[in-house]
Amino acid sequence: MIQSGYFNPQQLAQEITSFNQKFVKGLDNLKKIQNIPAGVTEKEIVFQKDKVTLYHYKPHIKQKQKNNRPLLICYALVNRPYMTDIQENRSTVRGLMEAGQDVYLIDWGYPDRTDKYLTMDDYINGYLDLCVKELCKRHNLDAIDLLGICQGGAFSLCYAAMHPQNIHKLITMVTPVDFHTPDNTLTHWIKNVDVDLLVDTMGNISGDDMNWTFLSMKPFELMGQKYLNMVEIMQDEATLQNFMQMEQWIFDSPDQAGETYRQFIKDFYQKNLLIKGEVKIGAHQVDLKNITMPVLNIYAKDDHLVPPSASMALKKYVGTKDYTELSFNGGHIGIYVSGRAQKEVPPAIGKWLNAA
Amino acid sequence: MSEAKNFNANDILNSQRAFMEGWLSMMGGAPSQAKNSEEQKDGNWHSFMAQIRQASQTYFEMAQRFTSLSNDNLSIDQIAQDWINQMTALFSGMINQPAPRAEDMMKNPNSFSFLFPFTGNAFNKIYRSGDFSVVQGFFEEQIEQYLAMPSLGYNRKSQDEYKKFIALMMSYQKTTNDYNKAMGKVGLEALAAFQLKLVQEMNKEEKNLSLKDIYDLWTMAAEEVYGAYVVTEAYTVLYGQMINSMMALKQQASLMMDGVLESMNIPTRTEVDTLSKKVHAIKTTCDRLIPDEFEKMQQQIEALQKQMGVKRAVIKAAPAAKPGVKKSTKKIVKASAKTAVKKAAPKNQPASSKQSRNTKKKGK
Repeated sequence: MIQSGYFNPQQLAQEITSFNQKFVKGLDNLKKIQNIPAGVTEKEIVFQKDKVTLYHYKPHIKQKQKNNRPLLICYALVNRPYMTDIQENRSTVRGLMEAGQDVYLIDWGYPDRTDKYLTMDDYINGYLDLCVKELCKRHNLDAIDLLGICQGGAFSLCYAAMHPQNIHKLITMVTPVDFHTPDNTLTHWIKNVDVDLLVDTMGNISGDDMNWTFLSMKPFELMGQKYLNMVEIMQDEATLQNFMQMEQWIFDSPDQAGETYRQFIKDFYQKNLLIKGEVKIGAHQVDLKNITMPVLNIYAKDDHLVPPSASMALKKYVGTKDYTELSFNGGHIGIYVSGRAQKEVPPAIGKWLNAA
Repeated sequence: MSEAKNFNANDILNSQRAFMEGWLSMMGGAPSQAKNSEEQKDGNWHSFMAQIRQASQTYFEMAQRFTSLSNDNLSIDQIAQDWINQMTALFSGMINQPAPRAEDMMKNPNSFSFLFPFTGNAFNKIYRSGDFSVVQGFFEEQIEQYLAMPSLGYNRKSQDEYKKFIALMMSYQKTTNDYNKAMGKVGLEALAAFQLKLVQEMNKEEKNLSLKDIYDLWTMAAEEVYGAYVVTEAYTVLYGQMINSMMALKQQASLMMDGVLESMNIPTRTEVDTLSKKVHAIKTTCDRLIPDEFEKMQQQIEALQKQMGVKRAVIKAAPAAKPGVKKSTKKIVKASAKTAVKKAAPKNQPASSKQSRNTKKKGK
């Protein structure tokens, strides 16, 4: 029972009025936002196949130290890769370039219903392999550096295990490896879902449904509180612009090709086959012990999508003796966009890559 | 803005009006959105505004309850308790309500609570995304007799299909209802947690709670209780059952729709899927064959070029053939040719293996 008298109804009423006034004023700032770019650093297309595009970021600064070996970023199929380059002062790509890297990025595009039968084999031994070979050819090298992010990290691990000769150094960021750690909410949720029935019925899994799943992890914060807090943000044009950029990215969600979703959810989330060495992709068996190149594994301490425990398991399963771990004090998204991340993460990657 | 001491209900009404007017005026001037996704251009903007509106409504609803202004002559305790009682009734209603009809769930997926962003909505959306209003209508009209009668006659197969559909519909209704009840319990627990937090906050000295503070307390409490529940085994079972029953229903509806389309000589989803599968198989074969064949051809060309180079070397090494050349001269020519071939090959390796290695390197 409430037993105190510290509520002040008049104060509360005044607060509501103030809220409304701020909102109305904030609408003027909202009107000024005309263009929300999808990525800010200048880039060029160097390779294309079907809906997949390989981009090369054009150097925008004079690099102090230049790593001549290209770094390929392999992003997840979920959401869009411009998260890594969302704005000038919040760009992992720029940070990496400033740390001396020659950065390339794979954009998987937006699969439509005709892409429903695209498999993990198509993505990893097909598109990813083509991109890696294109860069080897372009730079006259046998192997490149690969940076995999989230699901793209899992793809990169599979690729490096299947084609170790093509990867010089491997970086994984917020990458799930052990999918059965007790704190993995997504694993709990998908545990009793009949994925075959889901994919057979839906074909592709829509980006909206993926988003809803992610929002449902913290529904009160992400569907309510966030937008209420936004009224304060609306007062400042620059902050509002940042908010809108994030908002665009969050809901810019490609559909998931049905067959890829089927294998990823069943083999990785439900059966946890990656750490058992039992994932089969095309004609290859994925054995993480084949990963003998240097590995840098970066995880976020407050990651609610990929818990640190799921990422840190990598150490136990890779074959390399050159394994480095880096923890970031933030969340799954903050690791790319927060101010602290800009200062810590890309420079650390650059330093690790530049080391002999 | 009015001074706090003179603040009255009209101030709130006026500010609400300004809020709505501002909101409506914005609907005519939405900013341009992502250009790389067509559907985002408008969809994002409207859903974004809807989010603000929804969150604000929650806030206002809360404000209305908490302020109730002094007109009601209620004490603060009574106001807070009144709000909590109302919420308790709402969540209890969710637990005790009879199974909703699927059609009602489709029409009004947000009916559960203004404060409770009910996660089951997503599945309602999935459900709605399937356009099977034809069978839905049929279901509504024929349900009782179809359930009562055995299938008979030349169309018994289709009757069985409809019965299956009805059974799946009922299964989905049951699992959704179970889910709602579970969420109702979560709501009640969240209220209890909220009440506890509220008391703790109010007992702090010199603490004057704002409405936003109260809202944040509610969010925190609800998130904690919800977060703890959704990782339990009970929830994973419930969640799986709800999605599986939803998918089974949707799949059956899709099959029945295929039957309708087929009767009108329109391509069905099954046929389109079969074609997509075949196209994918052909494309995969081509994608993998072409580079292999290309590499083979490249190897052949390089081998031929090598051979031609050898022949040229032989011809160069040989003096112009003149009539009356002796056999010993021919031997010299053969020896030169062998030297040329050896030069082309690495040490301790046959010429052919070097050729393939070179080709491989270039192929990269």
